[in-house]
Amino acid sequence: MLKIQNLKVQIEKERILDHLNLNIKSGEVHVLMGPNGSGKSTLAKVLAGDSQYEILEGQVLYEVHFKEKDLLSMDISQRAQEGVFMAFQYPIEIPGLNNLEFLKTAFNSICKHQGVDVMKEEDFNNFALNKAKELGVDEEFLKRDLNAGFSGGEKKQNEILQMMILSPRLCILDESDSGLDVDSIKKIAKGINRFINKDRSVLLITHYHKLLELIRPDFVHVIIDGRIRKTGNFSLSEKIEAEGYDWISKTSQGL
Amino acid sequence: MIGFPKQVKDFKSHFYKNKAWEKSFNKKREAYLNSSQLIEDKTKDWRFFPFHKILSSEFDFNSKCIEIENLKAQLKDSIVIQIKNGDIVSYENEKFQVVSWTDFLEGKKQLPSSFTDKIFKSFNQQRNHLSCLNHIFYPRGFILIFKKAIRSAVEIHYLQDSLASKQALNLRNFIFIEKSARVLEFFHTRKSQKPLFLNIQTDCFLKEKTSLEYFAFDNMKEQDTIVHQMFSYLKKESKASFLNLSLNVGLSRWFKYVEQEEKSESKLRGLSLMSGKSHTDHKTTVKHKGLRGQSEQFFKSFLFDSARYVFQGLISIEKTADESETKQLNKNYLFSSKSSALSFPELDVCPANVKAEHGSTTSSFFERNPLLFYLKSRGIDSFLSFHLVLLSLLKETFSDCSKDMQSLIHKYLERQLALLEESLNQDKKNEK
Repeated sequence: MLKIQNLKVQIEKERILDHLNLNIKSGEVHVLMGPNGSGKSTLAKVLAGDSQYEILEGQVLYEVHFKEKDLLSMDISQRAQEGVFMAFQYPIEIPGLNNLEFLKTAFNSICKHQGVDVMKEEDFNNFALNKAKELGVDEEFLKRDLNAGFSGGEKKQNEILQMMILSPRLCILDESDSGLDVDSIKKIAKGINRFINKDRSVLLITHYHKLLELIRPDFVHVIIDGRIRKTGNFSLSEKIEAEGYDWISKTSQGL
Repeated sequence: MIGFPKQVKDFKSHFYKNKAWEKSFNKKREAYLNSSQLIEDKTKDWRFFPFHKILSSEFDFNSKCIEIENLKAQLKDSIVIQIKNGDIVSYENEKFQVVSWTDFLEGKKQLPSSFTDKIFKSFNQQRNHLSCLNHIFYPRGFILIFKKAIRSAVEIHYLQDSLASKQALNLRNFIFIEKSARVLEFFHTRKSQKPLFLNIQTDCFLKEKTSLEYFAFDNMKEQDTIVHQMFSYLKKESKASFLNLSLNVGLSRWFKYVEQEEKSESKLRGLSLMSGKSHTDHKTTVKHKGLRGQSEQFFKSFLFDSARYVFQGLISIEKTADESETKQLNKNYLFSSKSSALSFPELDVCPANVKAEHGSTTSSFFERNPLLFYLKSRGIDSFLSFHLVLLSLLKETFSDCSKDMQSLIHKYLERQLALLEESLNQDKKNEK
């Protein structure tokens, strides 16, 4: 579904990603771990289309209707309409914009792009309400303004709710578990587990092992200094939880 | 959101970066401050018009109060007064009553029935519009006295059709609040008409424990000029809320003066959507004179093309106004690198035990903006994202107004935004 090839990215002349390669197939859950400042969030933002980063080299191929397209040449909204979704590490607050109204506009924009009939207001409201119940969040979420006055945990849950409603094909979760209590992490995991199927893929960025216990990813990658230094399975995250990243830095020196 | 975000820091202030601009600003301001010419001379450059000169020469609060009180005493409990050639409007028993100056002098308390019918028919058709009054009388001002609480808002429309014979017009209005009231003032002109200069001074007097919601919408055109001065006097435990909406007037200058007694509350809000070479000034002075008063100021501007906005807000808390609470915030959004905003939030606090906060931000929307990025990342295209962000930022300003007022303003804004976007698109097409 997604092929990242030899990607080099910089911001304000500082290199963040350096010859990064990653392949994600349909139905797979990949986890990206790494120390602070290693380039995890940069990768997420580059995939979502953040224009503050400069692409120096490499390409990102994204499969749309069995054809590989250049993701980096697409506009931000076009990427989302083709099924790429990023759950933000720090979701933006927009007072004055109703959450449900915003979701309906986004949902209908995606429908229009994909040539599907838009949903009637009442149908969409019921659909969104059901998704909120499925995730186990208060339906008041939908009535409030977008993330305005939400706690940190509520914002993260709202991102997952958006993911469930907009039904993307590739979901990039940027530290959706950071700063959450145990119950909130369970809700996030529940949302992700319900989301995953054979046609959808997830790239999960995290620092913690707790969420991975509940999701059981297919692959765990460790990124250090903008490059993937080690790839393994769930047991790799257990080892990182116990020993940190130093051993990977040492063994990968000179690579 | 207090302080400049990082991306704005470099950009902040054309004023400080552009020395020529600063020099030109100071030169013009200096010239006007030393000038005795009034604004009516349109051949002069009006851009830095000194409000305080007009105020000091024309306004004498004590003598005006006596004059009005005398007139009120003559009129007993009912219909009313006028100043010079103005209209006289009284709202009593849920009906408007209108009397001309001559009728009043002759002791008549009612207008001829055919005349009255015409006015009230128009009221019924247009939901309390007073536009017909402007049309008929070419007024120099009006007086509104609210003796009973009014359920719907009184709308006052200034139509260019009715003002067409004049290019410059001075209006002097008075509003007395003896019960709660809501007033909407609209200024309409058409592009095809001659440039218009409107100079309006409105005085509001709120009795104890009364409230007023006051909205002024200027829907004039880029060739027009409006100078609107408003003086409000809030007696003990009264509440007043003022909102100004400026849409693309060539030059608009709003001066607001609020004087507050004990436990009174005031809210001042201003929204300016401007493009082309428009220039808007908001100058405010809120004086706390009594104990435990509360005041809030929230002014926003949305600036396209080469539009300019200046906010100068002063909160003055006198020695007698202990335990007062006050907030002042100015937010400016720049949608083009040529647009600019200047902000001067000021505090003058005498007593020790007060809560006072003020701040100002200026954000650029023509570079990468996190709000737009967030919406676009959900599949909403640039145009629609922009529309949603703009509406949400606008709505924030009047979020605590009454619901029917919010709905009215929202509809009004949506219509105006659609027109604005249409014109922006047309400009882009023309550029191509």
